[in-house]
Amino acid sequence: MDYQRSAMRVLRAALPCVASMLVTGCGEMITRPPPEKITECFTQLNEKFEKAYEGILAERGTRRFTVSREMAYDTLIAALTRLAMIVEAHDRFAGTLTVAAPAPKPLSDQEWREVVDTDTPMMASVLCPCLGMYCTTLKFEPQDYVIVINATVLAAGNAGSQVSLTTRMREIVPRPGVPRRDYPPPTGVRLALNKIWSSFDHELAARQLAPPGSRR
Amino acid sequence: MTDDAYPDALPAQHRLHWYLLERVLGQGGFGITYLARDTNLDQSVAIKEYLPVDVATRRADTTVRARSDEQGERYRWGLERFIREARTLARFDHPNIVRVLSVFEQNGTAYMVMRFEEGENFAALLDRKRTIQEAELMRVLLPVLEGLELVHNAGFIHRDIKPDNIHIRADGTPVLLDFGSARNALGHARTVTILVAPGYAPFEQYYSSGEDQGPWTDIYSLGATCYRAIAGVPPMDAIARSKGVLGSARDILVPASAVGSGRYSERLLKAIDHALEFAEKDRPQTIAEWRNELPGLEGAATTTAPPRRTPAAAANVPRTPKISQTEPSAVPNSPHRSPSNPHPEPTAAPSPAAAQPAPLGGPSRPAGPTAWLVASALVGALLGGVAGAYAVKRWADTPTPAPNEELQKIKLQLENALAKAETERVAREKAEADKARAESALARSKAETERLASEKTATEKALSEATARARAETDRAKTESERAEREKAVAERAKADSQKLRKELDVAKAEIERLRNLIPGRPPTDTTPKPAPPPPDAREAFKHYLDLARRGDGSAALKVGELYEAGRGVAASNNWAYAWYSVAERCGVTAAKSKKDAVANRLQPVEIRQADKLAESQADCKK
Repeated sequence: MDYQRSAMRVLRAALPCVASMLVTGCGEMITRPPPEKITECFTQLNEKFEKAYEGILAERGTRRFTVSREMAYDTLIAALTRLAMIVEAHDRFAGTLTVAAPAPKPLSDQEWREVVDTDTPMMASVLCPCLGMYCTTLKFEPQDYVIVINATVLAAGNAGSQVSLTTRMREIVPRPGVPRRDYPPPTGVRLALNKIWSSFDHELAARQLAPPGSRR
Repeated sequence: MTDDAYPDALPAQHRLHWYLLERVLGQGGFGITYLARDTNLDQSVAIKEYLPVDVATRRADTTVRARSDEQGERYRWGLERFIREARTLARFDHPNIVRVLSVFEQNGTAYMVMRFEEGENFAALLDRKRTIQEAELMRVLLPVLEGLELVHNAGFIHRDIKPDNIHIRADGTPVLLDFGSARNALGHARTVTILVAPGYAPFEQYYSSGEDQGPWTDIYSLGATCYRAIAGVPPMDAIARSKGVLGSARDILVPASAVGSGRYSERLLKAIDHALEFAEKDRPQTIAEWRNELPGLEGAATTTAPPRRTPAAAANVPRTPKISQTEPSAVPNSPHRSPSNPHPEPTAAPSPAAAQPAPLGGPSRPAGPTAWLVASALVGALLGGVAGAYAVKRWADTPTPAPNEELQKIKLQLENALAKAETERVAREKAEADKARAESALARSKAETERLASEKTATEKALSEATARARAETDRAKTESERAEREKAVAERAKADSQKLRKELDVAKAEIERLRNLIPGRPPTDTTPKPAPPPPDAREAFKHYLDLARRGDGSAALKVGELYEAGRGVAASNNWAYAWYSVAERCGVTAAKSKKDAVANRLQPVEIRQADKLAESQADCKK
């Protein structure tokens, strides 16, 4: 227990950021575990992230609105671009939308610090028992990753609409030998969803207040 | 403006909103800075355009685009940093920090509008003067400290302070420029890409991810800038210093107190040495702390003696451990010692007369003829072989148990000779490097000239041939035109005949069909028009298939899925590929299932559920 606590303390100091996993050897004294061991430990972490991610998405990944599908779609685009996300693909007819931006977008740097503070102990509790002191040499950085958000806007009963969001991390340049990460840290997902829905509500309210034809 | 020097620059008189570009002020790896006119306020501004030439390029329509899709992400990331730099700077309104007036995005890139400051770059000034006097240095340093303190107090550090990033206005006041590397001092998510100026960056900037950097990092760079101003060369690079410090516990940087002794106040030199401490914890931790160590404008030495040329090797001569001037036997010989006055009295605030270096060696009795002979022999030995010289220097560095005037004298002369030889070596290497660069540039220029000449000849030849061809073509066209006129008349007649026949044929066909349909049990003829072939362009093809798929065409849905998966004609997306494969499968396209299952392996369970719902919501299959 003491070991775990001290390892967590070391990791908290050594891991300024959480999202991407840039494995770098920082100490000659600490032996790097074999690649298969690293992969195994990161798989454990991915599974933990996935479980948390699925729970969060089930709770707040989808929302229903009493506005038309078209209005919900336009509102969603405006809400996401307001958060500096870039539209990669859109099909208004089918109701699909893909936006992306360099991590930690749509979070701000300050929000990202919150993610780091909250999720680092959880990561340490998975990685440090598995990798030993080598876990202190891992750096979790958001750069080199792009956050991708896939959204669908479908018709729901009574001329309403249903908006569904999923998110994943895409490597800008894949690193051979480093396990892939699809799932952002849970606190990051929670904060991002809150921020997107808040932006959506704000945008929707503005559109409903605006006189017809004054907004796209 | 788009001359040979700046082929990527926007042309003069190009308009960006209400800014009219006048000329290029300079170009770096990350962009181009223009002098422009704010036509609203009728004043000059400097506009910095983000154009990282290694990942982006200017197109003919003046827009800036990433060189490839792979570099697109990197380009956008850099663009975001650029805009962030502008926003960082815009927080500060201080006379000694460059004033950002606006930032905007246009042409696929971003532009930072800054107040235009006339004057001279501090690096250029130092190149011109080599060293400057203390009072002049303090007139630059103290205002920069004020501005930088504001930046630090706001939680930012500059991280790239060097003479190139300090601009001296016409009235002599300085402005701190280029906050491209600035970052939040207290934690930041991004790992800092190493952007360091050798000699001006402390060791922690080379290895740390940011935790060890703080105001002391900028203080080191300012100390190095001061060192450059008093020594004529920047201090030794921190990596090279680390080898000395870590390898032998001896710092191999010659301290400012040795380089500038006699020409600058002891207080200033000590403050510079403190700022240049190798370990960050040994340096002043805040600007206020460091400022207290500095002499201030009124206390600055105002020696009027012309600055002596300090050997470039000064920064590279190994130094012995710090020992005060009361320990003459162990103090390194100052490389700028004047042979004509080798033993002046030391003084804390040098007057013009005291501008000569303080005696560092020993008693002031002149050396005897024997000593000169020995010195000459040793210098000869030095020039004859490095090994011999090194051995003698080692000997000379060894503290002697009792002062010996002649040996001290010899030692001083020997070290002078060492410093001089080193200076000459560095100067020689620099000259050779300059020459090689110049030759290389000349060769490139020559090759380019030859290429242009060759292209010109080829162009002229092609033009001549084209003219001849065009003439022949005109003659032929004229003949053709006359013939075409005749043929046109014939064709019009034929067309009229054809239309008449077509109408008759349609009437006949309708009659045949009517008669056929009178035959009992015969199915009616299929008159459905055949689908048009897909267009060859990938984007158009995607639209074509998407249109069909939306109308319930299963084969088209399969094609849409394939295009999404391959990223052809649309941004690649496994999510939407999966959805359209599902639609195709639902419409009975058997090939769709295996493709859908293959894509599913790359998706999250929640993404699969999302795509399934999307597929269910699409139009029914066409029967």
